[in-house]
Amino acid sequence: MTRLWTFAGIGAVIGTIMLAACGSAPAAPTQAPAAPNPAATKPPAPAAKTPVTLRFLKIADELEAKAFTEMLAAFQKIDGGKWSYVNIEFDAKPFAELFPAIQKSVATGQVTDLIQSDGPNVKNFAYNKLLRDVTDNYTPAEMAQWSPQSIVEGTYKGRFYGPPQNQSCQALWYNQEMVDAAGLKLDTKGLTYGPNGTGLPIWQKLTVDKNGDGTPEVYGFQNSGPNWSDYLNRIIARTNGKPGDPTYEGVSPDGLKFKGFFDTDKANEAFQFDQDLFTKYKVRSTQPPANAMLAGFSAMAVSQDLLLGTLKNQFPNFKIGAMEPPYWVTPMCHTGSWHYGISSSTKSFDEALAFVKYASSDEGAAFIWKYKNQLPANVKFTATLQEYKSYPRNITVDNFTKYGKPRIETPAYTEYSALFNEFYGALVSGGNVTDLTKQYAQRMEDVAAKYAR
Amino acid sequence: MAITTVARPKPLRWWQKHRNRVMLIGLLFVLPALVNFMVFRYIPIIGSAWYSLWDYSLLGGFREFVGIDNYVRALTRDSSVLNGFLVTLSFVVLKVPLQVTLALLLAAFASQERRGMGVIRALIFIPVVTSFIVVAIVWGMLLNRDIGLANSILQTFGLPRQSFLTSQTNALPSIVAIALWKDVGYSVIILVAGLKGIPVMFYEAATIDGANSWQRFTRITIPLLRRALTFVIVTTTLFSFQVFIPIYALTSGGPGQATNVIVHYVYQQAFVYSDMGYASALSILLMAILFVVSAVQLRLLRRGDW
Repeated sequence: MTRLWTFAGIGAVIGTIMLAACGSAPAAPTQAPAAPNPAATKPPAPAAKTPVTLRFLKIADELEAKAFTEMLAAFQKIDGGKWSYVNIEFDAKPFAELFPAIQKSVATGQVTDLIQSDGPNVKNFAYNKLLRDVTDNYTPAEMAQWSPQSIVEGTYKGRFYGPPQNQSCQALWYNQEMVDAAGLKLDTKGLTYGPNGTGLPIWQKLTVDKNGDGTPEVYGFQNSGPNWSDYLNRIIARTNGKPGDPTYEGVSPDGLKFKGFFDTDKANEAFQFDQDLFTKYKVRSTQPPANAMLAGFSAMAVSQDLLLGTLKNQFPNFKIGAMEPPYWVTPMCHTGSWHYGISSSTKSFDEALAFVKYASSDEGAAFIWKYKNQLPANVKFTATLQEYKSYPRNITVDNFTKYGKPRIETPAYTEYSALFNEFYGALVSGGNVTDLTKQYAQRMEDVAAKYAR
Repeated sequence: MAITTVARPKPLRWWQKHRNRVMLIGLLFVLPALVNFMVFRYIPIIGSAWYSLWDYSLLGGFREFVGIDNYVRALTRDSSVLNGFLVTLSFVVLKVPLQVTLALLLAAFASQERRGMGVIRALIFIPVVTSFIVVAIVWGMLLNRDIGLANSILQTFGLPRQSFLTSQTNALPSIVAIALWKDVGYSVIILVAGLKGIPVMFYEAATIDGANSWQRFTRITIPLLRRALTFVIVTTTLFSFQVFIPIYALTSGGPGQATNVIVHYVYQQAFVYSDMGYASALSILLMAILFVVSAVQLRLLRRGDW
């Protein structure tokens, strides 16, 4: 009996521990690099202030981590060390987990000071009052340091919520050896879509089916895959319109209407040709692997210039060429990358604002550029970069300047993006294009309707 | 004459009575499991039922009390719900009979006491203990239309390449096959244990009476394996209704909505379409359906023990 009581007691203790664990504080952040302590060159500290640690919920990226570590150290020295009492705790999540982590953070009432938001999601976060309106905290001169596209992406209903960290644009990259082997001479002007366009014959020539089994070993053309995001795959339809018309704009000005924008005749024409690239002409693969072009699986691919980082690290012997991305009638590249947002739940707004201002300035952008090598959002700073003055990266920045267009501007971007993914999968598998665009335009509108409140 | 007073024994407190002490000890033993169920099952179910009455999202919070509107919407206005249930039903109807049959055959083979059977049983069980995400990703590569091993093998035999996961016709059966490969080992182990519990004397007696192997299997093995089979059928059905990981990892419910099982749709509503209230209503509906399904199964498969 004594032994029974002993075991029963152990069981009670275990139960108590489990109950206690359920009420415990949230898990510690996954990454918290210590700020460097350059004691030798540290300027005289101002009057001692209570240390403030800002919690920054962001994407897990080794290169960004290095950039932010250096950026923070520099930030602590500006204005005579005014912000030396500010530290940052980086709560870094893998890309696919960042949005759920933000949702969880809000739902559990966890205090966050800074949020790294993908450009198209800024409107959603602003609608849900996740981000602080910082319109009145920026002067016109400060706003002028960024590209117009960045300001559009960081704005919701005329108010500014998200200073930009980076930008993006695309080019059509190609395997120079495959192009040479096909006897092609290409310039940098963009190819055109369409059965009578300049792109199709080139892609057909570049598609190689050595053993004649109907499945090419090399596909002529690919969007950087393998998922069917709207970032790359909506462009074909939008470029079949002209600036200002529904096909080109892609959504109503309030971001809530998709019927008459997603399913126009011009969009259907473009999506039909896109489907034919997979099913009729067979110059695109329905299941491309990651880094399809660099791995030798396709001859050409539309991608950001971040591709060059992958090339340098994993495919150093690859000979790459570039040209403007293909289009129907109006050239376009989809823009948008990461933005800084100050959380509504922050208790250290002044410190958070000061850091965000510094991070999004030319000085802060330099740290990001040093490690990530991604197109900056800062106009003047970009103009100083030698890499963007010469081939092939000049194509990206020229395209951005001339044809850069933010992705579909809607507070329902997450929902729209998921539906587009589903739509495109159905398109690639051979569904009726007109039926699909009509069906999905309706579904997109249905999910966006709640943002009209 | 001296009067002797006998002291009355003190009445026992309730925890001192033997029967109550035994019950109390038993309760303390099950306390960790009870706490687990309460905290991770019953309280979330009650919470979910409450959320289902609201227009609620993780980012937006509780906006408006809508009562049963979410349920009305699911049952009358949202065609994707019906699609989700039909796809799930198709998955269950394909997988459960195949898994039970295959598990029975493998168990009959693996329960024999021969050299190397331990290794065979381990090999059958390895997929069960492998992470489903890893399994799904690897199978995704194997089934790739252009560069997958499966299609290379088909081509070797002169057969045309198949779009296993990008065809609206093939995607669901392909997912069934992957899930079957992953889960059959669990059923085999249960059935092997059941087979080992059947006394040998029944088979000996049947052999003496002239029964062949098929008759022994159908007249002795199956009836005496009823309890284990019931468990396997019920649990396989319940788990199949809740399939999620291979869909999430491989097809995201596509192509079209060909593999958009109801649990994946619930996930999409909760975390992608920011409608946690509606997702909660769908999950309560699913729970009710599963309750009915398992009750019906248990009723149909219930029989007296031998």
